[in-house]
Amino acid sequence: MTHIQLANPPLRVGARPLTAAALPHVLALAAFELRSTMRGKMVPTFAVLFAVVAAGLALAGLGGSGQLLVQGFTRTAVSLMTLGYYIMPLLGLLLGAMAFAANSAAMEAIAAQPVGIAELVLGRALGLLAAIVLVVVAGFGGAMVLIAASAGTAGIGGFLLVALGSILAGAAGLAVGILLGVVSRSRLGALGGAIAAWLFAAVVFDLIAIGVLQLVGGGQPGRWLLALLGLNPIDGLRAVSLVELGADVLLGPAGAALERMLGGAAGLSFVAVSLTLWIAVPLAAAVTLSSRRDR
Amino acid sequence: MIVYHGFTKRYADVLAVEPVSLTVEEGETLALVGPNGSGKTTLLKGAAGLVRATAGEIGVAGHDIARHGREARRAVGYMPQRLGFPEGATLREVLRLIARLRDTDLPRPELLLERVGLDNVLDRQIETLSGGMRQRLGLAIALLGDPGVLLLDEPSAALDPTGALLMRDLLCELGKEGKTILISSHDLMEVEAVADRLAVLVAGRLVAAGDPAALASSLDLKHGAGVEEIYRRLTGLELRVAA
Repeated sequence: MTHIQLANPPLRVGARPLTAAALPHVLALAAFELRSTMRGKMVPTFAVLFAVVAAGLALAGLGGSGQLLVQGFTRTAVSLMTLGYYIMPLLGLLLGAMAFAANSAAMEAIAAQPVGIAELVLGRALGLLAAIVLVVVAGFGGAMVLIAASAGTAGIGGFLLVALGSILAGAAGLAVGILLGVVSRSRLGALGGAIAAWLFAAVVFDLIAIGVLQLVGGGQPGRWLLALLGLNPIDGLRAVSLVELGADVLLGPAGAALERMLGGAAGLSFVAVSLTLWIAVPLAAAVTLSSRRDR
Repeated sequence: MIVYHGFTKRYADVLAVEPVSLTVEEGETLALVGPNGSGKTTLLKGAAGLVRATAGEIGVAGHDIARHGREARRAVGYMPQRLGFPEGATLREVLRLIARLRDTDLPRPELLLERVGLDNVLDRQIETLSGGMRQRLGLAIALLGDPGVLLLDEPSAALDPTGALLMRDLLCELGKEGKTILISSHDLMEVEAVADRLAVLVAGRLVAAGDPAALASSLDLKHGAGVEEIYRRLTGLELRVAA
């Protein structure tokens, strides 16, 4: 019997850190995943629907004479914010959960190649994120062209901020979806988990937040509100975007209070940190869990 | 060389592979045979780094697969039992991806496909290939980058007689080139033709390993007994129909 040379360091549990040499692998996997995703029905359908609805919102301002008017960038951004911040996380959750769900025997030939788990997970995640970016570009891009051509470029900064926010909301959903896919025992379970997570973040969390703020109303609700906004990336993004788009004008006194709390660099930094954590932590957990399992 | 040293695999409450110690020497072709569920695929996946050992270790081309998986996998070409890729992927895309992951150039992918008997299919979608063509694509993927060790999981499954004979010839050719080959197979004629040694697994246990002549002798089989007689004896499968 020939024994294996064991003069090596002890077995490290977990993924190896990524090095610059891994970048070509990550990019190759991302390109492959993007092509595969765009060939499916879900992402192109999302892109077309989002583009149609966004263009419709941009054109929705009907004047008294019945003439079709185009809304300005700020008003359209507020309308698209609700759509983008709710739909993109759902798309991300579904994409991540389905791509990483169990019984993905399809990837066996790829998993047997000399690449690390972190490269596999991050490469595929990057490809899925690129698909989300394409959906956002389809929606916001079409509306942007319509508005710019008809109503000028005033307020385009806030509009682009909401587009970026939609991508980040999608990225957070994607990261959580990937984790759900990795921990789920079946594709159906992963999908169920993804939809449940979205319902919680989009609907249930708001009810809980209202209840919590009612309970602590006599104390320091500002701190509680901040904590709650940090816990839910969708709410955090909505609040900061409203402030950036001019919350005092849009929401009156409540908006002015929100602006005092989240206005300026502090609000943007707060939501940036929250989103970074919502993207990085689930992804790191997915990589770690994957590295401890069979490929 | 592939070395299994006490390799054990357990899935929840099921012991899929009892401790196995087995060596595939450099340049040797060893065939894993046994009924379904005997642990053949688990052994192959273990050496490919797709399955983690519950206990024991596997060395491939001098690298411990658990500690240096990347280096070990670079030395290995793996052909899965069922090849599947995302819908719509073409052979060109898949071969290009695998080449990039192996840090190797593939200027003429059609030559690789021609070697396994696939002509003019480079831009076809994989799901449009027949089962036999997919098997050959699987072998092409395993050969990409010219690895010294090949792990082939039922390479002749789903092949028609012509395809099976072509696969057999190709395996003999690869053996002569000096590749270290570990295959699992249900086709005992194929095993007879290509394998230097065989390892018989029953219910996750390695019951015997050696070259056919030595195994036949140790089992007191008549001179010239083939792989089929060895298999029948070791798996307790008696001949039911009189010759």
